[in-house]
Amino acid sequence: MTGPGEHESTAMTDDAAREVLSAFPRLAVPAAGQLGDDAMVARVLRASQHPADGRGKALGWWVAGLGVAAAAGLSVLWGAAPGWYEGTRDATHVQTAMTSTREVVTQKADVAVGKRGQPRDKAEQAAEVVPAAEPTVEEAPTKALAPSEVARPPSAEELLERAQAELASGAVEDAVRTYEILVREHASTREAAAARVSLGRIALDAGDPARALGHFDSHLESNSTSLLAEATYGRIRALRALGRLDEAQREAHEFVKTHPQSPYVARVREWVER
Amino acid sequence: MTSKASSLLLSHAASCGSAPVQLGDFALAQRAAKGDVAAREVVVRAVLHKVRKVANALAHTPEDADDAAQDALLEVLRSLKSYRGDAPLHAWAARLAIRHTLRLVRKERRRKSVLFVVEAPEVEVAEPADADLVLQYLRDHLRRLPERQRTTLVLRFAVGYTLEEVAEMTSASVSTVRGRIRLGLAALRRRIRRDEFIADWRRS
Repeated sequence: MTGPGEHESTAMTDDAAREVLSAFPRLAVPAAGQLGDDAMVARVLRASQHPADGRGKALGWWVAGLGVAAAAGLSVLWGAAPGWYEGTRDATHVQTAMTSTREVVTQKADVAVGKRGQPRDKAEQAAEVVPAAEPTVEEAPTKALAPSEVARPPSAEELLERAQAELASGAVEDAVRTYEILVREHASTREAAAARVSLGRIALDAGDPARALGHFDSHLESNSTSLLAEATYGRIRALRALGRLDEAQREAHEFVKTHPQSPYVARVREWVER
Repeated sequence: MTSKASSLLLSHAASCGSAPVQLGDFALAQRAAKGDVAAREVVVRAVLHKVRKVANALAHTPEDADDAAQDALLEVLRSLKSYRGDAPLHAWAARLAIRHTLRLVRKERRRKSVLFVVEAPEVEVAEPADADLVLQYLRDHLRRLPERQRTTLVLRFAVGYTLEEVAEMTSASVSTVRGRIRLGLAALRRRIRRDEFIADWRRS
């Protein structure tokens, strides 16, 4: 059973839901500061005239891969029919060098065809030593690296994911420890930036604004360019919680000017207007 | 067949002072694919608004929306060679661009969610005291819906596609789209009801 108060509340929130849902069409309206249509068209047309985009790079790698694969195939053929390849070995090197400027590709090709610059008979011997059933060119270095990869410390991304999972499961202390490791071991990464801001938020939620302020300040002083709005917003909250209202007010004014598109700006503007 | 795109080419040619040219969609696409700048501009303008609407409604920030729209429009230009003339050019290009936009926005959200999952202003939702705040409030709640429900609601209610068009763009059946809309709206209403801010605000 529900009481009259609850009925009233439901009716009111249904009205609110309708009001919120009626804002859907405005989601598609450009925000202030976005490119105008003409500027967007000009930018797209200009960009379309430069073929050196991501696809071009991908094609380069694909062609480079073909070069490596061709080299690998030739190494087997040299072992089977050493009489006809006289010109092709050099041609393979030329092709590999042309298809990619990356040294690593050339090195891989060298693994397949014998060391570059060796006389023909040595290359032939190298081809004979490597049986056809050996790992492919791409597999060989990966296998060699495997033991060290097993022992490697967790990457910044892995630590961040772990901390977030710990936080989501309610293990806040574990999350804080993981975030701290991340900040210590990978200080200059974007993940460490996220960790510093998260540590600040956790401290704020735990009622320790002084510690939170330290985390936000350390992020803002780190020259990181990511999450600046989040860190500044956290800083303002921490200052308010510490009762440093004048400072918070100044910071809030600055925030509204510097981050007009931030999702936090409506909240901060309220603080400014009070 | 006189399509939106070819009539646009007509007006573009007129605005340039040259003789109006009436091209079929296939010929227009071929010219654009070969690098004809006027034809490329016509193709881009034919789908510009729909692509931007989708990007604006789904992207994390206005900057991301611009980037996603730009990339999707470039994808249309790159793909022109594969246009066979089976459907109107503007519809083909809009479908392609919007699918690409959805992919990009999804990818960008995934990348950012790794960084932002904790930073989302979960308890800092402002009271919807004016239109901007209502919009912000809707965005905040939409972000917390499952990806497919969010995309479906945006394509249907923010961009205005029909159920059939949404189904085609999201590679789902019409009944699935209906289900996603029903569930998505119900979840949004539930979330709004739960929000004490709103109830307090309406009372005051």
